[in-house]
Amino acid sequence: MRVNIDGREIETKHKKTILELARENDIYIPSLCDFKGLEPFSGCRLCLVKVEGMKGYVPSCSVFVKDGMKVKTKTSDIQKLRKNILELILTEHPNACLICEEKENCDEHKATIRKVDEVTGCVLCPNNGRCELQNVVREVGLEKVRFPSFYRDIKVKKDDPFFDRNYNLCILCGRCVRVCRDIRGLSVITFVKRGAKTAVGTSFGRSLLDSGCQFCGACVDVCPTGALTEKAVKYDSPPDKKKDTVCPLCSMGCSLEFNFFKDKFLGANPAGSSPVNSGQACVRGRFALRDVVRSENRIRKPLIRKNNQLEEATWEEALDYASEKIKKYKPDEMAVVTSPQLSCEDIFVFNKFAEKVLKTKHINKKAEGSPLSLVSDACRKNGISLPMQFKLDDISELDAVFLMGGNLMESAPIVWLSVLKALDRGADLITAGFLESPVDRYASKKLRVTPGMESYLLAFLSKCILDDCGGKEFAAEKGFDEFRRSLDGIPYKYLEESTGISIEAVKQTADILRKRDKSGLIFAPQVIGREREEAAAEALLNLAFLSDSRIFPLSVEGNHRGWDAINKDFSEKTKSISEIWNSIKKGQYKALYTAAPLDIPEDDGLELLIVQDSFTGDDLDKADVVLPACVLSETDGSIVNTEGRIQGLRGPLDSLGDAKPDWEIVTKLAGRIGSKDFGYTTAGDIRKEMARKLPRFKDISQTLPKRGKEVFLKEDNEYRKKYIPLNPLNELEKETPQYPLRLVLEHGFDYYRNCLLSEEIAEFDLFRSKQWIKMNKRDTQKYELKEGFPVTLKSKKGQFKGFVHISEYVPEGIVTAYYIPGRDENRADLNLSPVKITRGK
Amino acid sequence: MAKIIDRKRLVPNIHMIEISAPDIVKRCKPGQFVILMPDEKGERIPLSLADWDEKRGSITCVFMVVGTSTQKLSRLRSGDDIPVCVGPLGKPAEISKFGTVLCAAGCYGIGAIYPIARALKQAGNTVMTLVDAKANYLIYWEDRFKEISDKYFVSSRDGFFDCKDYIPKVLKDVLKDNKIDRVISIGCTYLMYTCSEATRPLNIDTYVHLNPIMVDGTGMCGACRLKVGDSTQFACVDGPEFDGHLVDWNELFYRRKSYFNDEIRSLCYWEREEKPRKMTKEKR
Repeated sequence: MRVNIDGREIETKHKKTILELARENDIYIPSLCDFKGLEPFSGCRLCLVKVEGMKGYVPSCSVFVKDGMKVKTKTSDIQKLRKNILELILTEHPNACLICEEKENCDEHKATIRKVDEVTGCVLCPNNGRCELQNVVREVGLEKVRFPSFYRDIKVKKDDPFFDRNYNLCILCGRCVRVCRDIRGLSVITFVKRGAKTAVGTSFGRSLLDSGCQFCGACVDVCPTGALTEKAVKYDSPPDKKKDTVCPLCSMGCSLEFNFFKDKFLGANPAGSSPVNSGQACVRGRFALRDVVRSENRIRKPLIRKNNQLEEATWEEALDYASEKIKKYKPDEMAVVTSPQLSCEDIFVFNKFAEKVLKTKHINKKAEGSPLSLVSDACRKNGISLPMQFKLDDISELDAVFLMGGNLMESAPIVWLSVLKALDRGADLITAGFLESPVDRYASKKLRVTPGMESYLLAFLSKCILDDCGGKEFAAEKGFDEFRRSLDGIPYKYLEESTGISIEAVKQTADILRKRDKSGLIFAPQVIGREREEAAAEALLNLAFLSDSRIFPLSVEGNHRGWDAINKDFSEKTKSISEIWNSIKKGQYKALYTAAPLDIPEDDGLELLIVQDSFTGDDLDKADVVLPACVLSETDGSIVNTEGRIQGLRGPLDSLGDAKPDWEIVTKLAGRIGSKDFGYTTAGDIRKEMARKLPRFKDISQTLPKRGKEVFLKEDNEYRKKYIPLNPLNELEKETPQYPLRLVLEHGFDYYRNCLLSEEIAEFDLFRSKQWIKMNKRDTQKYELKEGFPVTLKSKKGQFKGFVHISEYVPEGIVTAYYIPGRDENRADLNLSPVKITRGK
Repeated sequence: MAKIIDRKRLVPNIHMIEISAPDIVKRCKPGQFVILMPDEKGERIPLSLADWDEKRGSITCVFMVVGTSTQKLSRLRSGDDIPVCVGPLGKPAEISKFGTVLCAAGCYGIGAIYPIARALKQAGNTVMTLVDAKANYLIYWEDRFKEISDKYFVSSRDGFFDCKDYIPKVLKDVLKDNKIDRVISIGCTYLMYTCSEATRPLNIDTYVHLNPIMVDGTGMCGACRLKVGDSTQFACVDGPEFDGHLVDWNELFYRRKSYFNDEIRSLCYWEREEKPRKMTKEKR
């Protein structure tokens, strides 16, 4: 179609608004409420244009172009109208500096008073220089505001973590309200009050912390004014340089832009053009990463234990020391622990080192509570093959989403955004898990299962499907008869009792899964013990076959998929970090080389402990040698996100102190121990070898994939089904009057190597503390506890400490605590067992 | 220890604090200042005296919240104690019969210039006041000034006043329409600088009350040094009142930024570490 804007004939194919078309063709139309990715709002009225044949003036942000349309954007009456509208907007926004001739001089000479409490002018505003209002005033050419200015005098909200809210600067464009509701699915903030008193706020004016805010920062990123400002950078100048990278803090692999001013690292913003996160991020990438990578607790120099104390050493000394010691041990006396938070290159070199240099089989290759590891293991064990990789868009195209496991907003925030898109299209959401979660409000069915009985719930669903359809269509498939028999052996009544879910609810769910065209089973991380997790993965596969659903097994840590893919190509013999930990506890090893956070057990019998980490942690207390590693943002390695997408980190930061990339340290150590010098000088050399040796990495090259170019792990395209008979579960120990509560561990995501986000960042601790013991309010009343009370959880097997946190998402009778594999192995034993809670430190 | 009698926000960012200080009241004169510390660990903050009350034995200061220590100060309440309150410090402002005096002030300076204007009025001068504020809601003590001023002007960029100019332009207009013998200006450094520059071509005596970075306030450390004419002077003991036409403004602007990055670090640390940790601790 052809559209005429200001006399220019413009050709366009796609349906778009006048504003979008004008912007694409560099025709300026001012707007303050419109934002890419958000629905048109027509709130600010600045984008009014004249369209021939249409009455009055129309908002160009919400009128779609038509063939033959004639648009005028700059007539004198439109300009006058815009000035009037802008003047009215500015009566409630500090406007002195916007129209003052002295502005530039003040910027120069009044810079130091930018630290004020309340913003009453641009020179005092954190947004000075990056403010959209300033741009609009300049473009519209406003020189005077004729009306008296009005100060709302709303108290600036500074007590929430990460960002301040100053609604005296708000122009009510509604972007934050819309992004929170439409993109993030939360609606923590909304318009409150009516008429002249309309403002943005939370319900009952509560703090963001008490309103369920996830602190994703989306509202801060869309705010056109200084109303929402990030605390950490609000006094800094706007960035003069941006560098692309990928967030290493979880498996989403969000594209981020690192901001710099005069080479000082300011922080990270989500990159708008990313196919993964398209302008969104979560609290970890948006706010925490900044403090993590530049933490005070970074290890900057190699350390060697001398006279029972760690002393600084040179790299030569540390590597010589470590290699001399390693040479003394036999292969079976040594273990290596790697982390899914390392880059692919690091993991490859670590595996090669364990296999070729140490010749040990004791290296961890399975992840605890990771759906990806569990499902892929179950497939391999049973000769099943099905696509394990996916694109986030596949999720947004589903008609029914069965979500199993923990809180998606916490474990996989970007996957949640895709689910939300599916829901917008009318999909049904079914949540299954032992906890309530903020995503439940969108669920058409909530299945609150007894903790640990997840595999029974899935079998329950399978049984309902089979009984409903008779099962003839599946009869010829591999393993079906045996599977059917195993289901027939369990009566419905028993399933109802053990899962705690009524047959009606399960039947309805089965119906949805079976009848919807595209249904998907999202398997989110949860910790219910190895056996039960394996059983759940197998039951999930069965359900997927019966309901013709696609499985989306999520990964956990930053490079979990890469770690998994590389490990599998090295050897089939798999051990998990917990198994290695238990072996250490039994005194099986004499030497341990760890690059993952590990809580070294007492009386470990270790003669040599080499810790390779970026941060100081408890494991340093016992370390003989400490090798400082770079954080991923300082390396040019690659990581694979939950989809299977291989992404380059591009090292936007310089390494801190003497820290080196992990692969380099291992390479140097290898060169010292045997003749096996791997001969790598750059991460590119390793990629070259990986592409040659690892079939799944065939598509990577020496140089990292550029943004926009999509490189995925290679996957088997074969589709082989096999039903797996249901494994009966052990009965859980019953609650007793002495141990009246049940402990369920939740997977902790808020850590990066040895750095716990809630310990590192005081604000993070307010938001989500690793030390929380979450429980229902009624239980706290019953046991006379209050928010923040120090408590001890005791079971017959052990005990640990924490602080009470009241959570509406934890059902009565259950307490939850966070568990990080390797780090919290002391807690693992207590999982799913009855506990008692006592006050006191 | 000194007791806070009252602390309240006058307008956004500007607070008034009344402190019980019977010994200081006995000696203080217009133009002098005191040094306060909000807690044992904070900085020493020099604040001009904005008023005092001999009967109540109290002094009043007006301050702007513009960093960690003033943030802390702005959180104090009536009945709280502060560890340090010393004064009166500095030389008093020169008060005698000059004829017509224009007091031009902005921001915290509106409070700081008040006792000087009052004393000048008592000394028999015709006192005119010119107050600068970005907007109508930033003006305070209007009634106090109207009581002691023969004429009262406002410069603002607010449509409320039908005026959109910064103080020097309005000042020039006032000087054109009235015969002024002396100008006194207190406010941010840039305001005092622009006022001095406005009067320089007209050769009108202009005095400013300077606000360099200051530590001890008794002439020992020299942090508040500035160049006035050919000599180096200390704002704490030689000032704070100086001839605005002799001050080396560029040096003053430059020196005021000396610790800018550290000031930001300190404020960020306080907002992002100390405050949240305190909140967590309170819960536990």
